[in-house]
Amino acid sequence: MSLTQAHLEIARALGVGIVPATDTPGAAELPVAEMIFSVAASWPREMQQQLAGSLEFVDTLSQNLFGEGVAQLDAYTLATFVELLADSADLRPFWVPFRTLVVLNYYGLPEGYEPLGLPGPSIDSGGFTADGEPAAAA
Amino acid sequence: MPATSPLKSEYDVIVVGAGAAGAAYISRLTAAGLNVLAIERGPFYRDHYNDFYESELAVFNLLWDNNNYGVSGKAFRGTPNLGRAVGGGTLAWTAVALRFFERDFTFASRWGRIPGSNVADWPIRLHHLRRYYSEAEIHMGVSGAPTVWDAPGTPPPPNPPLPLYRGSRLCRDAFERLNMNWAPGRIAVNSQPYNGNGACLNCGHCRAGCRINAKYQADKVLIEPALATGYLTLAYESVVTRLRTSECGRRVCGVTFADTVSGEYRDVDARFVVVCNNPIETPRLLLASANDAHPGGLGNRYDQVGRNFFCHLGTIGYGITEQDLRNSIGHNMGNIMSLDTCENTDNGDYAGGFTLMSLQGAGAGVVALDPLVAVNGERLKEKMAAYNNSILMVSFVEGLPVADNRITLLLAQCDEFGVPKAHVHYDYHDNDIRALGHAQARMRQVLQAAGSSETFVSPEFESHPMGSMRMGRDPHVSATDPWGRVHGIPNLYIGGASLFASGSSVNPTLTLHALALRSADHLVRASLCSEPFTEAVA
Repeated sequence: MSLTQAHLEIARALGVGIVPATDTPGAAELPVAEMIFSVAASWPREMQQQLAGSLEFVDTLSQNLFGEGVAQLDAYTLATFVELLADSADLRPFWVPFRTLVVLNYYGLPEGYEPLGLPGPSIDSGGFTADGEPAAAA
Repeated sequence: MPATSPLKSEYDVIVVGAGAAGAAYISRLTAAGLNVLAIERGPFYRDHYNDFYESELAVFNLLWDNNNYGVSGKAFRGTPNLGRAVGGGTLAWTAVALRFFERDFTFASRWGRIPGSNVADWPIRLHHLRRYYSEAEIHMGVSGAPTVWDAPGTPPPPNPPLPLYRGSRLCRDAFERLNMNWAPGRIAVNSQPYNGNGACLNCGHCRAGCRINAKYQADKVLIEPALATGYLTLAYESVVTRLRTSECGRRVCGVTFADTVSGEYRDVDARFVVVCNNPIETPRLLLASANDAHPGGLGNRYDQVGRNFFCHLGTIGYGITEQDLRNSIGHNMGNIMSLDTCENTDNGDYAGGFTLMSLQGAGAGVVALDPLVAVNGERLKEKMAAYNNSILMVSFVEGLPVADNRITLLLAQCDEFGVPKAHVHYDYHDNDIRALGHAQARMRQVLQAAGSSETFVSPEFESHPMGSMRMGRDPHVSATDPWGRVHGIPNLYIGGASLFASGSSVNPTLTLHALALRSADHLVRASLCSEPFTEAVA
């Protein structure tokens, strides 16, 4: 079993449940799922198969519970489903590392961290004072 | 093969792993005029200013891949930030440089035998490391001030403390409200120009590699000067696949290693070999080097290689305030600290203790994945939006060594170089979990006393792997002697946190650096008693 476009769509939909679009972009507006799959490409084959199998399991679970795959869920149902996944002890071996990849990649991108007030690279402009002011202006 | 100079067939010393401990060995051995070959799995970043960039994602370029292990038990989830480059973990570290306490070296005597654990006293004491700690602090340019926790006679670090950031000042007030001692952290980050490099620019990205070398990074401070002596050859992007011994097995006589790009193999001989890999890879290499003289793995006659593996349990707290704290700038860890809790004096519920330190800088992803692990959707974005109004703290909890927490081999599963993969078995001891609960509660208390209206404290994550090649005097219960030599193979030395018999709750790097300097001095003395490999250095 290898990672396919269908797996990518499931991962992207779950990413929306974790980091939805609000007044700022969500995980689906950024290449978060693609970055996760890029990382997964370097994993041992067994781990890639585990990811693929877990995504398929979660999609089947969604169909059984709501009659639709994850990518078809409306925002409210998706949020409910994500809470269910997050609370499941059985799914923790999949959910915790998957969620880790989503949030690390999302908040590692400028569209993710800049709205929080993180400045991004600053060494070339002289960095900051200890009080948080741009050093060049101090 | 990628190397800084043409490879020879024989050296005085081969150092496997050019990271935090390996660099200390390399520095010492080349200064003594020994010809050294260092072999490092990762790349050699020579131009930090242009090779590194300030991004939370760039951290992963510098880290060891923990995905290639078989795992059993519930505690190992591949979290530890181990290095994979010349300079090793010092490129990605948060630069907290604390000395162990006197009591840390006598843990078993202090706390007694704890059922289910395999706690032990170290075979050395603090006074054996004292001068090496001071030397390590000078190498690192540690910033800080004398503290109430220092052992009597401890000299101040070479640089004055870094200024307290806005969030740290709230932590200071909280510690004082709670009648706790506090101090600026002991940090291997320049508070003033030092050793030819400038002071910290507070960019917030220590873990991505410091572009201006204001943070101690072993490749710049120790390895480049060692290269300049002419006594060091550095082979990088190369992996040691086997340690070779004499037929009787009493001496290690060299290594087999491979170029990870071309796959070319090479044998090189040496009078001494020093293995400074991380606490998973070091026992893996010894076990994978089994031969007729050592059928269970080098130095493993008593089944001690790989045993007594343990970690610190990390936990991160996030307290949201109404103030503009500019939390996204600054060096990353320990701007302010309290070490009052490093020894449990409050109750008999647990042995050991935990640290409390501030976190700053670009750690948005870390906040989202650790303290906010149970928060998703719009609520996650709402809480994350308070990042620059927040106080972040980290605690490291002392984990206990357990004999059956160990590294073994998956003999049927080999990597691309034919070396069996490692298997990690790791479960927390009950004491670890009890101490963690106290750390989480105390952290929440500090965050609230600092004015946080809402607090989130993470579950545990495993950090700072240690043990697996424990130092000791008795080969029945330890893997190495008090100098870090593998029992039964006196010219095979080990460096790194794998030597630790117990782990304190303070960060391990200063201690493993000091240990490496001490063992390197021993190796230099030993080299004078054995036939030298002589080659003129231009």
